[in-house]
Amino acid sequence: MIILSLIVSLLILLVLTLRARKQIFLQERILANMMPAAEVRKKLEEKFNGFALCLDITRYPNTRRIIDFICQHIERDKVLIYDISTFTARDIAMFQGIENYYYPSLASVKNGILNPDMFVLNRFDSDFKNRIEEFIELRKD
Amino acid sequence: MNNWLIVLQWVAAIGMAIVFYKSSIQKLQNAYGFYRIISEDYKLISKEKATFFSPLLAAFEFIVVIWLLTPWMQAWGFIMVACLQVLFLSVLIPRKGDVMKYGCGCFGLNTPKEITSRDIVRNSMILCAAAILGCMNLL
Repeated sequence: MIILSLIVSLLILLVLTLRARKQIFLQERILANMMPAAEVRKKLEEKFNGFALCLDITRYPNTRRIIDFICQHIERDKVLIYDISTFTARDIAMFQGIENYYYPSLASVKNGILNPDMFVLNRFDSDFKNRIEEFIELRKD
Repeated sequence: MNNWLIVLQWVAAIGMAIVFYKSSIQKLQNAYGFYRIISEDYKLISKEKATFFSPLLAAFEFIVVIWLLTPWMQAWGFIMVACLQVLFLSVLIPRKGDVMKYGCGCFGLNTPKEITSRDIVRNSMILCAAAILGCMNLL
């Protein structure tokens, strides 16, 4: 009985470890495709118009779905997608008037200035998706 | 063993199983966050090693839950809880007073939080209970 339990435990251990490891590699890949802080700063200084999708990949693991959904509604070059956990305090200072950066959030950007009236993406159900679409439509040029 | 001791043992096993289940599930659901805590916040091992050891540790916590709730594996479950607590305490104690970006990482990822005596006492209590119950069952 003990040997059987150990074999089953070993199998569960293997499956869970491999699944979690895959998640780590996927998140690493997403992070590698994110815009670095310097590039975000440059875009804002160049009076960028569009949207900013602020994520914290370390705290919120399911951001991949959010990115895919947002990119279906906004052209990729019209949205700055960045991971706030890689930003320094100086980098964060470029977003004046916004206090809580740690929730995944979508904001419109006009002439390089983020509108503090952000959409906080703390849920991701169908009702929420509709509200995100409305938010995007209302703020599109 | 006295009936009340058996009841006490099961209450402790269920209590520890709940704690470790919550801890392991949160770490497995956000494996990337736990990996970053181990490799960047605690700087325990290199990033390459952490891609293997952080998921393994979270998965092992889950296995401990199963062992604690399986009568013929329960004693080993208590021993493994004690071993994990020794590991956690050896990481927490040197960093007491440090403010960690994502909290202590014990239960998922939180807002920046200081590692306090409370975290250490809580882990020490689990260690003592698990060690006593494990030894009682094996001896």
